[in-house]
Amino acid sequence: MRLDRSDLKRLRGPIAAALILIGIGVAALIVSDNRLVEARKAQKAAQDQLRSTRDRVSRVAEEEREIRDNLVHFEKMASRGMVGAEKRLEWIESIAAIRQRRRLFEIRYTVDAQRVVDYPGIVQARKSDGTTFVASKLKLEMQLLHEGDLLDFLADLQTAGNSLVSPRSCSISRVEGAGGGGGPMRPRLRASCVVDMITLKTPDAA
Amino acid sequence: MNLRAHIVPDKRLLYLTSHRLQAFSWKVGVLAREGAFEAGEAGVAAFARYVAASPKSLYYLVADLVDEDFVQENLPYVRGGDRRALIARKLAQRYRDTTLALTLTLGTQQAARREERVLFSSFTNTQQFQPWLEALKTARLVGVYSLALIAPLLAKRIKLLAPSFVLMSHQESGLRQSYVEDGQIRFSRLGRAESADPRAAAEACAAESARIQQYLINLRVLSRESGPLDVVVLTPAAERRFYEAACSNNPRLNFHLVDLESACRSAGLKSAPEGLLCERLFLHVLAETQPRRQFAGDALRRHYHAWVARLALLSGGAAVCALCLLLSGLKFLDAALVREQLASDRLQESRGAQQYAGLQARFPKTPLSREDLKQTVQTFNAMLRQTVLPSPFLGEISTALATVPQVDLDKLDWEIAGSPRSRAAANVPRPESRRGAPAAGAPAASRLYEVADISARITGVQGGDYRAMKAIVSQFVDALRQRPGLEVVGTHMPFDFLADNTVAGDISEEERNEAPKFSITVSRRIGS
Repeated sequence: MRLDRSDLKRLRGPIAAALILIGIGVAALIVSDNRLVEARKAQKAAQDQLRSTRDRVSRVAEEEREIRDNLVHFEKMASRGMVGAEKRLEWIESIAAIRQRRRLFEIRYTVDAQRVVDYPGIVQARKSDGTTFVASKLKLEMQLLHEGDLLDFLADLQTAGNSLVSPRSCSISRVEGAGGGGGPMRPRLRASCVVDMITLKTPDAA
Repeated sequence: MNLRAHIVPDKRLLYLTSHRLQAFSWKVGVLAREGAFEAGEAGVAAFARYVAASPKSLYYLVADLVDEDFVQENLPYVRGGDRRALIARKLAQRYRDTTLALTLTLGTQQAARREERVLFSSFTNTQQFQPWLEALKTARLVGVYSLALIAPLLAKRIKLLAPSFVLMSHQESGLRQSYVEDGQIRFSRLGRAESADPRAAAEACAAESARIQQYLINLRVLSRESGPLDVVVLTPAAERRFYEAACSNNPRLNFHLVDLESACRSAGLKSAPEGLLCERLFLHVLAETQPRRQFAGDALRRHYHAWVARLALLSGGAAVCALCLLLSGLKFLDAALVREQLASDRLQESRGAQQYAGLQARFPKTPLSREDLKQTVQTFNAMLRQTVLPSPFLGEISTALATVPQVDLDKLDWEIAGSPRSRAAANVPRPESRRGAPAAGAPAASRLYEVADISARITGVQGGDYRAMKAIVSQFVDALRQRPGLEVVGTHMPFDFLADNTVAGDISEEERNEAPKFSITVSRRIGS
């Protein structure tokens, strides 16, 4: 088949028509392909959601048990008195009560300003209701007859509740000149401790 | 606009003899005469008007003329451009005018070298075509054919199965004798015949059959030992008896009479004008089969080619469009099915969510949101794991201390730390930190330690008795190490025995009276 220039000129119309037809077909193909891709994407999302919902339904008993367990822990925290506002007055009263009960020598204390607990490895996620664990540094200076006084004091402070008592450091040293003579009730040791008093700060306690 | 007429235009068959041209229209097996144009200026002019009236028809020119030449030649086996050049040269050598010439390949044969058998054919007097072809200049001329070219196709349509035979057919122009071998035309000639007298026509047929058999032998197309030649005669049913009488079989010829009307029917020709002989069958077969091989060159078929290109473009475009639309339809259908499934999934998800909400309603009330409660409890437990009272750890140290009464405790610093070794190294620059100590830095949450720096003095030993001091400290270190979980991470002796530290001393009475001091750093991992 051989066509000259004039024949090709006359074929412009059919060429254009053929291109339009092909264009229509390709456009239809692209549109339908997009529709299909969108539909499959939506289907995948719906299937993922369905799977997730089914998982949640199948794990509902486990979830309920977890909530009950968490509630038990929360109740434990509440019973320790560590939920809500700091109970500094109660702390001081506890210190005084322990000193009296244990017949301890002088106890000096300082309570620092409250801060967010920033222990290594503990990241407090931002909670929707604004609850945060906060700690107040309690610095203790004590005169001791023996080291057992300090250990008993810390144990009593923890038992007294009103917060989570977390000792961070303690230093015990011999009182110069107390080793030999003197009465039996003179302090022989000096201790200084740093204890974090941790509470769960709730929005209503702010 | 008639779309069908555009896509499937009317077919018009032009039957050319030496003295006139007849025009027929053909549609689904119906052949209708549309005109007859005598050779000469008036006839050609009328024909030109006829053609101009139907410019969109496809025209097939069938020549039934005496001047048709057939020559077989063996050519060296070449392909591509070389073959085209060789064939063009051979045609030019053989024919003065090659505008109406063609070549048919008859296969290859292996002699001393591989050769191609080629049949050259042409109308030797092209002048008689010129006026008609001139009138067809602007028409869609599909091709110029001869009855000889159509003969093998006709034989196939009426199911002639013999490998080689001569087909005898009476037309207006005379008695056409076409020799067909292996489905290919090999030779054809037009003989005279008296169509008005059937008896004479039958006798002429018998005589011409004998003549062509002899001629083919002379041309060496047939060998002398090839046996009797099959001769197929298309006979009108009414004249069959004359042919039966005239055409009797003999050692050279085997006659087979084929009823023309039956052949027309079996070939699918539904009706044809009165008075046509075998040409109606040839014309019908041509219109139905449209053989690829024909005589006209590209210049004569230019408008037909333009129409084919147009049709190809439009039908190609339409086919691509249709295919795309079909695929797109399938995709839309697929998308609809997916969306249906999607709706079903969403419904199930919604039911599942409702079911979950119903189950959730049974959950106990929580003071915080569930997620916050979970995080709070997790954080609390983590803090709890880091919270220890010093009493157990100090109790272990006390137990170790009790085993070495010469050691008198001066000071004890206890704290929770992340990296006891680095801490010990910072306090006491001892090479013990080489023993796989982790690098200083932020401690991992799960690696927290209770660390105690013990400062003590040794009693009951002279200040210069370093061996005794070393033995007591070692005894104390061993006692500490025996306690479960305890690890001694640093020791500062009264006298440094290690070679990479500087040693200084004051051997005096005052120094000798003072109790030697040392320090030890001991740690225990929280939770161990």
